[in-house]
Amino acid sequence: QVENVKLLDRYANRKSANGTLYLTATHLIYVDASAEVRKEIWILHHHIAAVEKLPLTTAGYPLLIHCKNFHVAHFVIGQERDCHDVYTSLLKLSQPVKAEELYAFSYNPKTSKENREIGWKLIDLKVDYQRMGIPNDYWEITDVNKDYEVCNTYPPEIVVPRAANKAVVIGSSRFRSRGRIPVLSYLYKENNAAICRCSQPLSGFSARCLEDEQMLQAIREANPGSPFMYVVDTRPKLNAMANRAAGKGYENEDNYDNICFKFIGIENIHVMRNSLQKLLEVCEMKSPSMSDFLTGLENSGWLRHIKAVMDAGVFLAKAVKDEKASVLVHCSDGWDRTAQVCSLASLLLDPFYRTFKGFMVLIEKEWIAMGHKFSHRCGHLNGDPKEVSPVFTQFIECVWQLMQQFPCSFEFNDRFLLEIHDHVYSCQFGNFLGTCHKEREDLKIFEKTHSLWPFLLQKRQDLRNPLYRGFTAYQDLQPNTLPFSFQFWCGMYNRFDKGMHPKQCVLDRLLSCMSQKVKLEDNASELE
Amino acid sequence: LSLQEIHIKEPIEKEVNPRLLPGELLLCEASTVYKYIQEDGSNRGTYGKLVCTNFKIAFLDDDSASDDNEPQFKNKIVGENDITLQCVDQIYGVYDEKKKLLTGQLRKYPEKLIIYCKDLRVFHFCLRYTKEEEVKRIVSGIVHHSQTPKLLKRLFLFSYASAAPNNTDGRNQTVMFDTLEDWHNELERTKGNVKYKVVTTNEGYRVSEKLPLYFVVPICLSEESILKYEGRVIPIWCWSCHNGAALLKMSAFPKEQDDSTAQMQKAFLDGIYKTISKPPYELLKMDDLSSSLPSLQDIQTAYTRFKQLFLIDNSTDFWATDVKWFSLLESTNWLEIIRRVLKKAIEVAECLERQHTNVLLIEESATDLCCVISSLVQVMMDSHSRTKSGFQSLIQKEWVAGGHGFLDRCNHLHKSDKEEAPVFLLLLNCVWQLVQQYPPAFEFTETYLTVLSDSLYVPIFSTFFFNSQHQKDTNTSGESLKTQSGPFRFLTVWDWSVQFDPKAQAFLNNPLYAEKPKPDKSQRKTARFKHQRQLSLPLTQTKPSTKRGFFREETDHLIKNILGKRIGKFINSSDEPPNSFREFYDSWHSKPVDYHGLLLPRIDGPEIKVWAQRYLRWIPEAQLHGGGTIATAAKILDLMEEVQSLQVKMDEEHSQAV
Repeated sequence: QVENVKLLDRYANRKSANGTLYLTATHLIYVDASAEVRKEIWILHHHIAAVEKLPLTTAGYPLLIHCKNFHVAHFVIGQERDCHDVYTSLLKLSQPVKAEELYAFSYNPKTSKENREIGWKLIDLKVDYQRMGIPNDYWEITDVNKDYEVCNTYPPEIVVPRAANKAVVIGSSRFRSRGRIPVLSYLYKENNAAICRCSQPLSGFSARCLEDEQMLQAIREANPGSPFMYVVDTRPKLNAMANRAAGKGYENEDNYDNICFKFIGIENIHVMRNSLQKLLEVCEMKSPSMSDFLTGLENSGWLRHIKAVMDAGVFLAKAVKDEKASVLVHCSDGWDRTAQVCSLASLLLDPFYRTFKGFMVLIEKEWIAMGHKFSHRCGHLNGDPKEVSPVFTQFIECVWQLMQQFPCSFEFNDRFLLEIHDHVYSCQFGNFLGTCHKEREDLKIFEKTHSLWPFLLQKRQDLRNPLYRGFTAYQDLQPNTLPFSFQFWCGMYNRFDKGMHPKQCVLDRLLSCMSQKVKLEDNASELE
Repeated sequence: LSLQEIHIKEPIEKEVNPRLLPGELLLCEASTVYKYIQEDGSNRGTYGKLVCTNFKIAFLDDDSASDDNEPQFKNKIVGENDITLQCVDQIYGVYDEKKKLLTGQLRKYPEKLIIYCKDLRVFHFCLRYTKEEEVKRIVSGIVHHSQTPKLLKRLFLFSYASAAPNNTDGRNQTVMFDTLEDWHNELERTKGNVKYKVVTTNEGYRVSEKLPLYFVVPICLSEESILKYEGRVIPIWCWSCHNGAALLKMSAFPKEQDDSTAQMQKAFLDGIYKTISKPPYELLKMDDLSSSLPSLQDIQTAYTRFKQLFLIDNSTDFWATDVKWFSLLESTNWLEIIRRVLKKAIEVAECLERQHTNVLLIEESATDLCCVISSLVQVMMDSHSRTKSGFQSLIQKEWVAGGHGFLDRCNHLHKSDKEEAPVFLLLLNCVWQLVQQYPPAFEFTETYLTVLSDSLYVPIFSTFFFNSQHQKDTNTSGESLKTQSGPFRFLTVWDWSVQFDPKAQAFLNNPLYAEKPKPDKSQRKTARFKHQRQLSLPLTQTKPSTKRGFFREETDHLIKNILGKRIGKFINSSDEPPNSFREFYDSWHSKPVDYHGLLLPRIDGPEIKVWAQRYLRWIPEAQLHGGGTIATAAKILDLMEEVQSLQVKMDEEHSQAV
């Protein structure tokens, strides 16, 4: 506990608040003493991305805290020793070394054991495959990976073409980086076109693998309506070519029958990390002029990257729906760009994924189960900072951009997205801990922690979209991907700047209208 | 409709004849003109007839099957393929793949015609299959009628007004500010009547042809001084704030070479300031807009560049420009101008609201940027101006009665390109920023603003087709003889039923508008009491603070300025700490928004946006099927209707139960 701490606003000339800073096991809490109404700011330790001591000012020792959810807090502490204490404790607390120290393992919402288990069973991927009509004549759910023999970053149950027998699967896995073989991500029931995902092939300059070729053939033949299939490498061509020198690379069109190979230049995690950094610098400018903002935004390249991801998603959706062709997608390891692109394409094609339940399924399926390395990308533990990258943030932003373009097609509103984004970093729930299913099993996530989804469903009243026109109103979405249709998401990157989002009031008002409607309907039926 | 009527109607519709308005005459036409649907190189399009009337250029589709899917939102006067003559921005002819601007006389006739419209539509017509004679007639006709200088009386406005049946109900809630009573009521509404009065000095335009018949000045001002310089350098009242501080405007003296005249002018000004700076008047702050805001020329240049981003010839160009979207946007400077104007308005609001000072806006003619700033300040500070009728009344007060030169600024008559400047559009763009930032605070929608901006070019309404009230009056007086039915009267744009049927009009109203709760009586009483007390003790209010500087000092500055020696860039903010604005802005934004109170726009970079509805609506690449703001608006309307009908049902049930 440190008393007499000032909280500075982004605009330095405003009168700063005075209050007390508390450090608890999980949160940093600031209580404003000067305000008439008790005002508190809670910052979860896991949310802290960086703590910085700034040069001494006349007011005291400034401490600048950057959070992963883009909250920036600027404290000024009276005593140097206090400041240093807070600084070192925060450094330690914000970067736990062992997974067991994460909040999820101590978080106790006081629910019964049964409820916790029910919570974990809320999302069942098998049900989603059933929804797609799987198993069917062409696809089957196989337990070939039940002991993680094929691929230790895939879940035990994967969907592969019926025509691909175990030998093909195993053979193919030896030819794919980290054994991440082509598996089904989404089947478009109407025309049997499928979206599949994998990692890059170990082709080098000339290597081939018969089983891998058979695997692709099996995927193509699982869609008898189309004579060919797409193989999409989401990396820029240059990066993919560079990988060939390391014995990896991309498919040679000559070796595979009837494939149409295509590059979609989405940049790698390092470029994305730097781009976000630049974007945040623009966000932190004190009253930027029009020109500062516009050039800053353009130079950060952030929206350009968002557009690239969206373009790729649109390409996939079009290939599946309009060309009736199956698509196999990969990047390097098939857990970053591939996850973004596949989940986005599913979202564009299938209105189910635009519901609360569907969106949860989508994240569980394409991100959690398929081994997006949340722990590394989000920096949950003290680790290599070069592994951190806003890959999931970009996906969430793509969804938001879609919501801007199709305001009536999602069951949920942008607060739902923000909640999920917050909890990906908060480590309060088990869902996003670790890097893959196997690791989560080893950590005993399902026994020791809670699932986020029931928690969010409880709050659905506040998270729903009052403009939603229902499941059947929109089938596939065809978003506009011209640069001007991508907006800067104030609600995300400037979320904690007081009053930056006057539009929220519209949402509140509509939500209250909805409640009023329900109440009136109830009253009416009562009277009748 | 009975069966018979349908039979009669059908054959008429089959013929492709233009639908003419009363007073509209067909001037020339050409058939087998090919209109490209989209200039994407695919050359898809339709054949039809291109006609030019004294009102519009219209393309009539040969196959009128398209009537089946009528859009929900439709303008009754100007159709999808109609371009009013005033809406034409530029016309290009294509000769052997080369584009050439068409203006006056033509020697050669192009094979293709490209028409750029002021509402940002672009039409491509191919004339290759049209008879040569017809090409000559239609091209020269279109160019002549839309691009060459014109007499005011030749505007379609006059033919329409004399031919149209005069059956508008005139029951409009909009205050037109053309009667003494309107001004009295406005003074009363804003409680400005204690210190300001309406003057009738300008009846018969004795004072000036630029001023309206009636206007409001400080009570202490003599008739003599109003008359002295034809109403120049007279502080004219715009609006009074709830605390009694007023917003005033004043036209400046022209630059004067002669020393003795300058001396006299200085003395006169001095006298004026002395009278209006004494109690009961608040401290006075002056703001010379011609030096603190971009010039009209800057505004015109910026808008021309900005507009170019949206006037797109073909898709290839579109994709090419798009790569550098943000830097292109930045280089036009248009958004920065919007930001500066909003900022100025906030500064003025701060003086009125927080410092209790009167603000006097000064400009050469007081009819351009003065109108923008005074309107914006009122939209921000007076929730009445955020209702539809209130906003319309505001436009009438500040712009129409205020004498904004719509005719010259829109260049409706093609008299002089130099006078052209999108001043009114600038206001609409600024108001749009507020509307999109605080939707519940406005009774109208962005669609309302868009159709209002389109109406600038529809010459059946008098609203935007005169430079001043005087011009309108003198041009209508002799006209009454010509009308067959009743007195000669122009339509006003505020009668939206002329352009839109009720269903379309619904899109102009904001269903999310948070209506003002009716204050209960006891509260109102106390409020009024407080106000009067304030007025009875003016001295405590206007105690000159040493920090702000005395009026004397300021006028000296000002006089120098007005007399042509513009020295300082700013006069007002010189003695004020520069961050008082910022403090005001920040403290307002840290509090919850009261939709019926003061409303300040956010002016940080990310908050100023492109008015997509107005600027992108014609670009096919920018359209979203089943998405976008229209979908939202429709859904919200449905929702609100449901709630309302349920409420009505409930009320009925309740009354039955009782």
